[in-house]
Amino acid sequence: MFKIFLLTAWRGLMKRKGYAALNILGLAIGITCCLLIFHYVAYERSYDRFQADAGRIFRLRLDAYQQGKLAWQSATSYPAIGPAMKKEFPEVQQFGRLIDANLLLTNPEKNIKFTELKGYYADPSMVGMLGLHLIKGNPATALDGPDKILLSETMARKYFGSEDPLGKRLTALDETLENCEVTGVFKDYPANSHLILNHLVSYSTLGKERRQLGDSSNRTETNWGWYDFYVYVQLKPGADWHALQAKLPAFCDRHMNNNDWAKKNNNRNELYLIPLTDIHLYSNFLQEAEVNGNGKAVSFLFLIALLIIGIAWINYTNLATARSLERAKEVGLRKVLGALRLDLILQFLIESLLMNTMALLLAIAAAWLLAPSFDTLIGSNAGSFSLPLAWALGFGGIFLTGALLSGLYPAFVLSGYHPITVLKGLFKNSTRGQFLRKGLIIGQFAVSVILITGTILVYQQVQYMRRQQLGMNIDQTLVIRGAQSPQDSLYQNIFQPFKTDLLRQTGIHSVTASTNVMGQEIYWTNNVATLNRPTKTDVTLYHLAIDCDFIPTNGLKLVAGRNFSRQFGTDKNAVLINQTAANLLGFKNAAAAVNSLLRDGDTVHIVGVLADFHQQGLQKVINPMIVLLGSGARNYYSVKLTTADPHLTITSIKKSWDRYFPNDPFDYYFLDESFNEQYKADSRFGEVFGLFASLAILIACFGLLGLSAYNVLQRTKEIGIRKVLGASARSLVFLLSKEFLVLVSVALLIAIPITWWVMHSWLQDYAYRIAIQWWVFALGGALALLIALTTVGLQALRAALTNPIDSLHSE
Amino acid sequence: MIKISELQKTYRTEEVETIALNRLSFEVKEGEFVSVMGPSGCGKSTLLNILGLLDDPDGGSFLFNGTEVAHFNERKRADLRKRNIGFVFQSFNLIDELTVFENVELPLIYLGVKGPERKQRVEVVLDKMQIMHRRNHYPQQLSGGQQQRVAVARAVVNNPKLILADEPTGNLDSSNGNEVMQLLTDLNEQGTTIIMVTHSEHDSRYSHRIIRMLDGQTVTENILV
Repeated sequence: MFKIFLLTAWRGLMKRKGYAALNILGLAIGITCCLLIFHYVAYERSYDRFQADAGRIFRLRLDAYQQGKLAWQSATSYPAIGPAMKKEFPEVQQFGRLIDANLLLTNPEKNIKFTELKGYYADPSMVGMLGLHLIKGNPATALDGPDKILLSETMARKYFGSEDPLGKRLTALDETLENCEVTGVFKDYPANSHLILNHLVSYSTLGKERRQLGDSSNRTETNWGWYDFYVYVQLKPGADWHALQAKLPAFCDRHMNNNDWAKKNNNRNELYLIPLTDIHLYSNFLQEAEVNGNGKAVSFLFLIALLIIGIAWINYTNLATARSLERAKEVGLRKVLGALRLDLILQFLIESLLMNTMALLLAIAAAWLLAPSFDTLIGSNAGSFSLPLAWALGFGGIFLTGALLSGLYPAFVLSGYHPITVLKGLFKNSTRGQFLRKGLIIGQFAVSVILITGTILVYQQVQYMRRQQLGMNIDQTLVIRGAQSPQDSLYQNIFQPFKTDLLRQTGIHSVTASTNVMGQEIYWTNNVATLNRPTKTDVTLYHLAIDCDFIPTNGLKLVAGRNFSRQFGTDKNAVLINQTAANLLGFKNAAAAVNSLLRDGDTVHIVGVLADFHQQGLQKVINPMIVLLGSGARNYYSVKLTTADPHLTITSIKKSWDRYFPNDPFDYYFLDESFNEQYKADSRFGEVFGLFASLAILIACFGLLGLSAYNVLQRTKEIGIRKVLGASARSLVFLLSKEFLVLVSVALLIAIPITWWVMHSWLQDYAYRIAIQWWVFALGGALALLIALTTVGLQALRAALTNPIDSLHSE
Repeated sequence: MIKISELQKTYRTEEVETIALNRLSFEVKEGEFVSVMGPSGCGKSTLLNILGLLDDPDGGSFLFNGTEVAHFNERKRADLRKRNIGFVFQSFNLIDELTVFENVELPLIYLGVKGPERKQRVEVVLDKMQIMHRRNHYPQQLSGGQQQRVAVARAVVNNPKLILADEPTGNLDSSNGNEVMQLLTDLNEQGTTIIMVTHSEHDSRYSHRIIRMLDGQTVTENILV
């Protein structure tokens, strides 16, 4: 029986090729979208799961409150937390810490050197907790003791070629000169990790370094204020992490919140455990090791995948029930010949499965072909198309459910026909199912309108961020990563002649050095207090060290006071603050801040107040900033160009660089490009959103096309009679399109409030955002209407232009 | 074989009530060939639907081989129908997507007959109807007469005790019509009971008895043989 069902279904498809193609193509597009999104989402959710004990490993994050208000939320916390938790909580099996080890690494024997930005000082336990797979060396002792370094396979090759690196030494030029022994090589760390990891230096090296700098406080073990450390804990098997989380407030009180200083300033710290596997998607705080994924966007995309495949299945249901008139005779006949209702339901379900399976095969091929382009579009490195077993099974479940459900309704409707009625030709396409059909069209178009208007709003927001005045000028600015090799004492003697040399070259307007450039998150924060004022205010300010040329080079504006100047010998202790900081410190206006004193470690005096500028993209608020004139400003050099040929100028800058900093690599980029990188994720989100919106509309149109064609077919005789009686083509097009237009209009009414609500909450993530305007909905709605009208109208027009004799003949 | 007494069927819409069968009673013995005649709307088709277990009567009794079937549920009716009754329609009602062979095979599939036996039985009946050479053709590739022969083949393939024919020659020219009537006569001679609804006096003469109906009732019965 199964065979004959399949055969009938197949012949049915072949007989109505247009209908079948429309259905299968719609389904295939829907399934392809769904597969590609599943592929991406599965990859995003796979982060850090390669670590066998991932379920027991957590990172701590910190919420810091000052003056009772949340001052910052940070992915990093204090180094003393780990040892204290291990000591006080029996469920903690071990802890581990990481802190950036940005080094200029050199193999002195071969004179190979690179600036390495993706490595950390790490406790010995981190080898196991990060799931490093050591190809060479002993994992138990690799980071045990100072001056040891672990390299990734690629790094080892980079510095030692084909030689065995074990036991060899690398020098690291950091604050002090380190000489590290390579104690192990690990297999390149997986890309689906919350860390990019090229090297690990033993944690005790950091302590040794501090001691050499004269710091005997053992801060790297005992400090409760230095919040630059990623602290991880691994729980014992079976331990309940929620129970441990519940103990952390008391832990914070014991160690941090109950001291006099904290109480006096109403300061408070809160610690939270984040499961290792949640970091990539759900941790988005200060000082993240890498730009993490966006869990919300991933979930949103997942939802879109389900919506799109849902739209495709709705088409199937709609078209299948609309064709019921055509199938009624067959149903009646089969019943007369002895088919039970169940047999018929089974038959229609097999048809649905056949069509879905054909679409699935097409979709798998398409997903396989498109996965690389999709990865590029979405900025993922998930690789060639594949789904992990659990996801494949999940998809299989959704596919079977959808295919069966979409076939079930038509199966019930069709199998319910009474044989006498249909065989006697008394059957008219019943009103049964029409209500549902209309509802489904409304649903499809509502989703389409939501996606169209959503796309417009995302695009608007990105454009808004790009076009907003930043309060600075980042055009034509070349940024060079600062030289690390010169010792502090010698640095100015090399940098100043280098700067003078550049300024002499044509095409260079100015040169300035700073700790950070525009677009970067500033990690250097400190508590700053007002002095000599009736009420003392103590707030956390973001610190930026610059030289005298930074303000004019970046086009920053002063609203009161003056810039730093070489003419003032006293400017060593001078600072600038921005307007936000001035407000926060309680100054009545900018002018009132000038010449006031602040306690920022030393006593400093404010010489000027800067107009607020967007240090970071418009997603972020403007932080209260303090700007110092410092010799520490050596991380980045910004070179303002006036040249028409930047390549030539860069070549000439490199020549100077190699002369003055022969030990440092020449790394550069353009500031505007790197600043705009901050909007890349949003732009991508917009593009992906737009792509799926278009596909959703396309699939919905397939459905509409099929339905309207069928509608026209059913009304052929009516159209003929109307034409004979004198109806114009226009009135006929209107007659045939009217119903669909009403449905799309209802869809609009449903879509508007949903879009408003969804996009309003999406925009909340942006510190500076657009207002949602009414015309966006009008435009989205008009587009949906236009597309629907074109789809339906063309069919209607064709029918309306047919010779009425033909249509009456065909009856 | 069939005994109906006081059979009633009324169709109701919101405004109109139509009595299709009005306390109709008659009997058909096994092996009989009976024609039912009457003007349009007299209740012939309603009668045929009830006899074919496609519709329920509102009242009265319907004994099929001694079993009261008037109020069987759908499943029981379908089961009885597929084992005992074959249908021949005016408009042939073949399934366009299936070949001649597959159309004839269909009742056997619903009856759960195994593949090899099905093949054999279908071939026998196609041979008998002289359309074996058309076994792989689709209905639309056949003439009206051929289509009706396929429909008759389909009706008899499961060896039904009763064939219900609803205007079997209505869509055929006289020569094809005669062929079909001859087929039915042959089947009847082999023992199959036939009840045929027809407007054609010519066709009715192939039967043993004519029941004439008017307004849902039997008006006369003519015995021809």
